[in-house]
Amino acid sequence: MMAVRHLVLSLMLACLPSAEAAEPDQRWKCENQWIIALDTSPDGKWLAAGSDDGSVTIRTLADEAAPPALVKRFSVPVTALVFLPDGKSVVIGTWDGTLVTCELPGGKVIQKFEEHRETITTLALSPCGKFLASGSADDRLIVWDLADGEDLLTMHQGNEYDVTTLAFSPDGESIATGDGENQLKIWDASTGEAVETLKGHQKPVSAVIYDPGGRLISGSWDRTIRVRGKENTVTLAGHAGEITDLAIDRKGTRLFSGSEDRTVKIWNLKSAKIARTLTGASASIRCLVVTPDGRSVVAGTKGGILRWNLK
Amino acid sequence: MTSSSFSRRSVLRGFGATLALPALEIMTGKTQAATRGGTDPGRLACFYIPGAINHYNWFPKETGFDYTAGTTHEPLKDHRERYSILSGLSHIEGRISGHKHPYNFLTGHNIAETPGVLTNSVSFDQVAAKHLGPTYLPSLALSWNSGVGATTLSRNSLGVDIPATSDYRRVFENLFPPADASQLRGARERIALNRSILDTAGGDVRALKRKLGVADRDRIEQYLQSIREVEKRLDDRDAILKHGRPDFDEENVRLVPAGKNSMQEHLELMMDLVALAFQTDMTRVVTHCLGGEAGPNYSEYPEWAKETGAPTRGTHDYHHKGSGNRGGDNPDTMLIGKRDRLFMTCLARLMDKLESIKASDGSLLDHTTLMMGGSQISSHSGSSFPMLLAGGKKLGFKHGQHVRWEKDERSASDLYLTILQQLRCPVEKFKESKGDLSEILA
Repeated sequence: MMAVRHLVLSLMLACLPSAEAAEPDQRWKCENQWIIALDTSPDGKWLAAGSDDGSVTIRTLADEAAPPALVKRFSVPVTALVFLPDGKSVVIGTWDGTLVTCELPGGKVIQKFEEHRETITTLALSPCGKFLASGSADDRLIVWDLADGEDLLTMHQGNEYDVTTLAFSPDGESIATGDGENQLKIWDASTGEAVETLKGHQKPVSAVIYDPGGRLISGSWDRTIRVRGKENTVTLAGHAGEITDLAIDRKGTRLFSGSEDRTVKIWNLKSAKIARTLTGASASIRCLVVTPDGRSVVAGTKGGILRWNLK
Repeated sequence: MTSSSFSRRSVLRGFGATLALPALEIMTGKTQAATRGGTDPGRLACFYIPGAINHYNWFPKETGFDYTAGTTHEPLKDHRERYSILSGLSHIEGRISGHKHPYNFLTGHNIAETPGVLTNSVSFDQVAAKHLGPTYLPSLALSWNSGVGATTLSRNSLGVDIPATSDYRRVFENLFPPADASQLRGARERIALNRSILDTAGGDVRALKRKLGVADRDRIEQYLQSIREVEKRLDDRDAILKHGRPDFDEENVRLVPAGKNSMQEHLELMMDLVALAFQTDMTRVVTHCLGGEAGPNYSEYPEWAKETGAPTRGTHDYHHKGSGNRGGDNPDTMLIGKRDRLFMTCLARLMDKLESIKASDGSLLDHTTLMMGGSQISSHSGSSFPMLLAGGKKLGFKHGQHVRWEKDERSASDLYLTILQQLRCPVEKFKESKGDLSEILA
């Protein structure tokens, strides 16, 4: 019965007419680069970007014409980054498994997390801001204490298919991960125990987030987004390419999805409908971030960073 | 100083210089059989290409001897007459899809026929190992990671995984008898102990067998057979231990990669050990899983991504995105083409080495069958294998051609049977084989 309900809903959503399209309001060029990782500072004033040329840059969001500052250059691509709550430092993960905290804007390394053996694929901070979770191509999720850099928990994915994405639940008690074997796993954030394995996606899970109410939202190469509530799961279909990243505003009303179809779609989570389609990217969207005030969404792609102001 | 112990380093010491010398013929040496005046046996090395391939650059359009090689095979141009490209073979009964292709690449077993339980059968390299001895090691399983499951290609007669290793020093230390006299004595004592344990176990099992029904007796007989095989291997090993470590240029064996996490470094080090193992006749059978379906994320990938304009992805993602029919000019597809070329570059290097080693007649390459291939053209597709067969001129292979069979006309098991028979293994069937592939025989 549940499966039929999913199917009907998916078909309905797939048949919706295209919503209003919008070109970017700002383009920051990054010649010959893929922007792989983005994050905004907690106060929304700064944007940090990680690139496949190994650079981490920071720019002000207040002055669009201001040039970016180079924070640090690595010898391998930067694959993940996240601002720390103080807004004065970022944790950076790279292709070869390096995981460090760097001061801003100078880039001095102030903390090293030395455990991962392969590419850092994803990073997230706990809601309290005290713990860092890192996922890796070494198939492990590690929870670190940001106070002293100690690795508190190590969760093994249980297959060889990379931890591709992760998110803390709003209460901080659970961590959700996605993997290349099309699965989601829910982990107890205090014990590291695997609580549940969720199936349903037909291809690798590329992005996972929670909404403020605790619903788990996942995006996949199967081009769908699944919103899992306590009662039911809603499947959002509308992208013409693989989902690459997800973001959500603080109120939890608007969901943003980036895709290899070169668009960002804004979904109204109440109605489960596409509100807008953001266009203008010349290649796949690799990463997404919504500013804390919810007034703009920023995407990383080939050759640059795009910003759309939201109504 | 014998030719086989003549090293580049010894020359340098002699001149008191620190300049590197070019490789000289005298350094390349001979096989054990050539040194002792015997006849060289056949050898077999199987290499598995993970994920998928760039099919645009792999498959020639033409068949026969006048085919135009794709860019993937350009590194092999100097060996054109020593290899063939085989298209259209696959496992028919054992066709699977997903991430488990390494499990049955060399077995042909349908591991998906019992959902939830992974069963398997013997891999053809182990059939070869059974007949191509005795050697110090019956076979050698190499991989990108140490372990079982998808990291190894070899399964024993019960279908159980034979652990593979990625540790160069461990390979080296396991490959040769200890050089030290006391360690050699210790090794022989361990064999004696193992033999006595087997004797005890075998006696108990034989007593038990008399009390069992027919079905259980068959199972116990299988068990006894495996004990007898181990006993024979211990005897063989003991006999070889008496000769001690063979004479070879130990100082120049490279066991530490120069680069961190480089695919090329890893493959070159492993393939050098393969050449050494064959030259010293410590083993005659090697399998090598060249990578995982989802890793490692070798350091070459970001470089290739920059060269092709592909986004930075994990290995698993490249296998998916770089295969299929997205066009030969798709950046991800071009990237997988670069990886395929690297495999061929390493294979060409191995062939150079084997060709430079003199055998009892011809070269070591002439007595070695090299098979490099995978189970998937597109990621998860198991319906047609990209296969390349090289070497083995003295074993009766006819190379320099592209042979294409229609889908499901012939199976990979037919190729495996053909290889086994050319290696003089007394087998008439392997898995779903219908007979040998006469097209590749001289």
